[in-house]
Amino acid sequence: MPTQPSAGEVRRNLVALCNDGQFLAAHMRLVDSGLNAQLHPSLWELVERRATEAGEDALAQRVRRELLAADVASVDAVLNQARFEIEQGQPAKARALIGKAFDGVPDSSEARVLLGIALASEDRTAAIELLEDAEDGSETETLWAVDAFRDLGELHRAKRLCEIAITRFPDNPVFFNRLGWIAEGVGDFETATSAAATNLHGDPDNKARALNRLVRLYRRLGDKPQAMIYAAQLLRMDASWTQKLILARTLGQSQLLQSIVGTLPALHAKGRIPASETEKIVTFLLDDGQVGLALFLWQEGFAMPAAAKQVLTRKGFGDTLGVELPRHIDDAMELRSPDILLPLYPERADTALTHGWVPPLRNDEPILLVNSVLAAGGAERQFLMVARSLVAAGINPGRLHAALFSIEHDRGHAHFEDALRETGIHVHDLSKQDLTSVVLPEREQDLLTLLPRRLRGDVLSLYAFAQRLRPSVIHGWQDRACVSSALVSQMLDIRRTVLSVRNMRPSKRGDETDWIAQAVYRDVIASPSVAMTANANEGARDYEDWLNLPHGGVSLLANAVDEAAFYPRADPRPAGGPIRILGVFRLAENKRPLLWIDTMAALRDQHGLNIAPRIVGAGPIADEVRRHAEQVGLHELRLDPPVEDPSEIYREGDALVLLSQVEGTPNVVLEAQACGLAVAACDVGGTEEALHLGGASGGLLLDAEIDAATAAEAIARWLPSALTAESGPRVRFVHDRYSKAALAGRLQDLYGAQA
Amino acid sequence: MNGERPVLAIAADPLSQVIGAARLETPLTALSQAAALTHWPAVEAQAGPVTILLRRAGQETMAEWRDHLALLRHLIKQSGKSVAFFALNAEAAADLSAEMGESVPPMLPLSRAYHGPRAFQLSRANGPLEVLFDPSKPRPAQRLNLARLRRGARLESDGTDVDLSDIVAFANGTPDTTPAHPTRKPVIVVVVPNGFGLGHVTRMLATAQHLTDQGRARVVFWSFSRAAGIIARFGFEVVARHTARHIGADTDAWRRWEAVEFSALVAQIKPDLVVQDAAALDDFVVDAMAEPQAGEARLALVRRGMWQKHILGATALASEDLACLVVEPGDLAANADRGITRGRAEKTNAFAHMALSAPVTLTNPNQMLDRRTARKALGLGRGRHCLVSLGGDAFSDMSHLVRHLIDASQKARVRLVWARSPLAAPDRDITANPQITTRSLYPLAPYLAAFDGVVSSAGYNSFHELMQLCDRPVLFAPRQHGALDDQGARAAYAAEQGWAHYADASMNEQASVVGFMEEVRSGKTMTGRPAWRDGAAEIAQMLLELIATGKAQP
Repeated sequence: MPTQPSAGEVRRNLVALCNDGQFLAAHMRLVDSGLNAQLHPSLWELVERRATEAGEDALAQRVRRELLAADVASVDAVLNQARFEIEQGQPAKARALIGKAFDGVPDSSEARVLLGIALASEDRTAAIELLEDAEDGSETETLWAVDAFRDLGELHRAKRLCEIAITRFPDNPVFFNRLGWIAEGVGDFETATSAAATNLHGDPDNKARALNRLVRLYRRLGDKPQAMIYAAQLLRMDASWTQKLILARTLGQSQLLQSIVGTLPALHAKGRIPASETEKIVTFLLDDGQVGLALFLWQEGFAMPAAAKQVLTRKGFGDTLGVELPRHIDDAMELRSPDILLPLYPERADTALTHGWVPPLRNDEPILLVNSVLAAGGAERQFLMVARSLVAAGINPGRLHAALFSIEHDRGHAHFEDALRETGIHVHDLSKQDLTSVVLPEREQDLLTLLPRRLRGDVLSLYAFAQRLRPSVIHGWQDRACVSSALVSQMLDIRRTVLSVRNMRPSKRGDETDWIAQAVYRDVIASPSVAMTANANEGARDYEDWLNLPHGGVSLLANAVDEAAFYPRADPRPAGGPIRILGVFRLAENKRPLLWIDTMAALRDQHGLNIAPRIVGAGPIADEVRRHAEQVGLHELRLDPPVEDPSEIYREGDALVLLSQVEGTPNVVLEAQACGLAVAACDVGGTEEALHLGGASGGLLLDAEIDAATAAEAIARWLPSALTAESGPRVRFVHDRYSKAALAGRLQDLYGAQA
Repeated sequence: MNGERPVLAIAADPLSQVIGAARLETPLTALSQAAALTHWPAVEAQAGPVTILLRRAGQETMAEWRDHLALLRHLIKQSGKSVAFFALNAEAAADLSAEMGESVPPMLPLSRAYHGPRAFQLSRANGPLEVLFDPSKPRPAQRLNLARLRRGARLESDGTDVDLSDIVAFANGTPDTTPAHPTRKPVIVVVVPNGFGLGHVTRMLATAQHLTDQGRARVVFWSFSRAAGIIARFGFEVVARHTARHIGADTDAWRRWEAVEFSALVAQIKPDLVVQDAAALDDFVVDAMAEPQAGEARLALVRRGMWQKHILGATALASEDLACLVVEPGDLAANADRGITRGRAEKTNAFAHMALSAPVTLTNPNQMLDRRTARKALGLGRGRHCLVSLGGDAFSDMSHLVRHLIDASQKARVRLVWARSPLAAPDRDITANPQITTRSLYPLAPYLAAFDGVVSSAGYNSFHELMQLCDRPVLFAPRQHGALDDQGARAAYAAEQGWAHYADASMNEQASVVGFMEEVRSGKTMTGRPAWRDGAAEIAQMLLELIATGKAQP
């Protein structure tokens, strides 16, 4: 009978094996030794600790299980296991472990932070309280807490904790990185750029990442020249090709992206691309929807992620009997997701005729309204109007469900949340769903794997929700939600789909990846159960052109103005007082706020008008707007943030001037006219349709491309008579065309609701 | 010529295919702003000045195009790099000067390469560059290589893409603007696949001899055939290669590797012509010929007819849209051709020039030995001798026929001389048979006078040698194999014409053989067979003319 080795002998063996990195062998040695965890916990903890330190998580976890089962696990082992459970999406198990080990709320800051993370989905308040303790914790704990706050949508807390961490751990670039992302999320671009700039002095990889972030930030700020300076810095670097591809995508440079990919096979053949990077590159391309380019590189020997490889092989790519891999980069560029996945269900084409008749919507069937967020924007306001008008038309609010991809308050995604909830409909934040238990059939799983990343999360969360709700109607609002709604509608065979797109094709709004929406729309629009709408004729025609649809393929769903809120009630202008000119728009480049300021200055200086200019709005170039007003001496400009009740804005106004370069159907034009104000606006998008023209009370339509002097001259000529004209025609114009009742009637038609 | 001056180009940029003919002054040239952006670290690391060819907007949006130029200005400013800009033509230069805020001169145009009436339209309306030989059936243009296209037609752009218009205008060139290329003797690469026998090699050896004799050409063989040794014996340079099957390689990987290697050869020896004798151009050849280093080299295909009836060969026919010249070596049995290529040599093709030559044989009548010399050279004694040339595996494949042959020859007192392919190992069954003498010679045709009759398969070369260079009875025993030509049709046609006998397993093979052996025994001489014509010389002439077309004159 063999004798049991001594614990000391086994310990020596274990140390030697762990020193050699042979953790599996160490574990086997321990098991074979017969020295169990209950009697020899220190030996088991030794292997657990060393495996954890080496990143051998799976093995470490197996050893921990033995310790936990024997009820001899140390605090460190318990916390390691709690962390493991959190990473596996099992916060309840983590809570139970910590609760048992500490008998209540722990003292250890690490345990408190972990418990806070584990509690996040169950008890938000308690979680926040626990996570606050991380400001005195270790580097790791603080980082966990920052991420937990971020995941909770508590961006301001996350930002504060990050800023504290930076003073405590100034050499850790990760905190600057996190701070940059979080600051951007809350619209603090100054902090975001400053945090990214700090990392410019890091190692080359960090520097490349920081440059990419700066390019992105300055593009969002509308400061393209500055973005280009940073982009050039990155191109000069021998940075990783993944970072250069990210740059090309950030800049919207498809040709540069193709050019970079085209150079990679030769570099790879010469061994000049690290093996570890090849999979990153392919993953980036798959995430971007560039399946053809990913396949092109795959056949050149680049690593393909296992999950994608499995799906692509199932789809016949690379199989000698299936689809030939693209041999030339030109061909590769043609293969993109979601195009290659469509039609999702080709077999249904055979039954298209029977789909032609859609049963009418019954009075108890749920209707799902989908939008991305509830930010303070015109499109979101109209989403609210959809809910309000349906409820006002007598639809039971219990049947109406609004699903949003995010309603994070700190990100500004919840501006209309309260108002939407006040309508009585159900409001769902899709980002808060537990998606770990979603089960997808293989075909749908394959679809998700190959969808562009930006779409993958949306489709999964909407699918999970719609699968539970089983709505009879799904109504997507704006392109992001429309694309996901169209796909989910097919995946779940939802009876009726309404896609309310925006007023111009995505590429005109700067979305260089508009092939995604185009492919999906083209695929679904042929179905008689799908209707596509735009809120202005010009927008409808633009989408029809883009999608090769016949005239009428996209129908009109006009905006609605709430007559109860927007009606003539302006405080009269004091006699001899200045003309109160309003500008209500987001402070972003495409709204041309600087042109607006210059025009006001010209009205005052060139035309001698006594004006009181006021801008209501916020946005990334707010500081620049303020500076510019000072530069041109428009000291009387009042710059106010957006207000809760927009109808209040027009109370103190005589005229509205809108000089945007890009507009859909501008709500402010409708609302100002409904309130009786004279309106001058540039002829872009659906502005002309929205503007009452002709007669003394008619508005002023300015050229789309106009300079301040020309605009001021036209306004100065028009304004005096417009101010003295009757406001009634303007008000009637809006009420006749843009009423809530009209909107509700149109929606019910689209949904197939019985009268 | 830009010689070895490296260029930086983005993948699939058609300009990279024609730029080889241009005069580039700096040690490094980026062919577009996109190429400069992609490879900027290399541009900056270049010690001397760098040329960047600025391009007008092509497939990218105007915003993208402007951003490229803006980025380029930033790169130059940040790096302080000395860069010379050029544009493709005067109009482009004016546009780009305005955009860049500095003078961008046009580069020297290319010399015009084509002066005829033919015109091809190019388009990028659907994404990749396409050539609209037939507007309803656009073909990928990348594989044709713009440098080759420009020598065969005037190029036109469909006008949807300004950059493409610039490339096309540049590729067309202007008359007599650049100094003539120095003359050199033609350089030709001959690609021969690994066929069943020596058919491809034999035809191309015959042609190559004329190319060197008539055109003083340097001919380099790229050979997958085990006949590399034979080719070398004929005095030609030969690069011996292996097929994917021989080395057990994955076909795709092998094709890519072969394309790289072939491309390297092309870059090194800069051929004026690549010609392949095969059913279709190999993908690796086409891929390599689409690479910029292929320059203006022409591409030709020598494709014999008489395909078996059941072979559709649609993919193979696609070669007609890739080669500049497709020549069909004439076949005496062409009237019996039932294959898919029948009559194609007379048809016109939008791109390839289709041609038909006289039949090709490696041996010409002047090389035929008289009976005495031939018998002496073969070590044959007196009496009747019948040559049997059935290919390597005849003993197993045609065992019935072989048995009949041996029996009939013994009865007729005719000695069989078994021709062993120089590529085949000695066969025990044959060498052990005292009734059979074996000989292995290549080429065998000069020795035909030594024999009183011949039993042969009906492959292209044997058939044409025997029908044009031999006056003794011939019994054709066609070999039927999916990968071979329609030997049955060829043999049957010869029998119909009274040129030869035909033995087939479906007929009374034994009777045919006995009758044939009696004829051999009688010492019969045949008349009425077709006169010899020199197809190889005709093909060589066509290839040399192809090389001369569109070549800059000194």
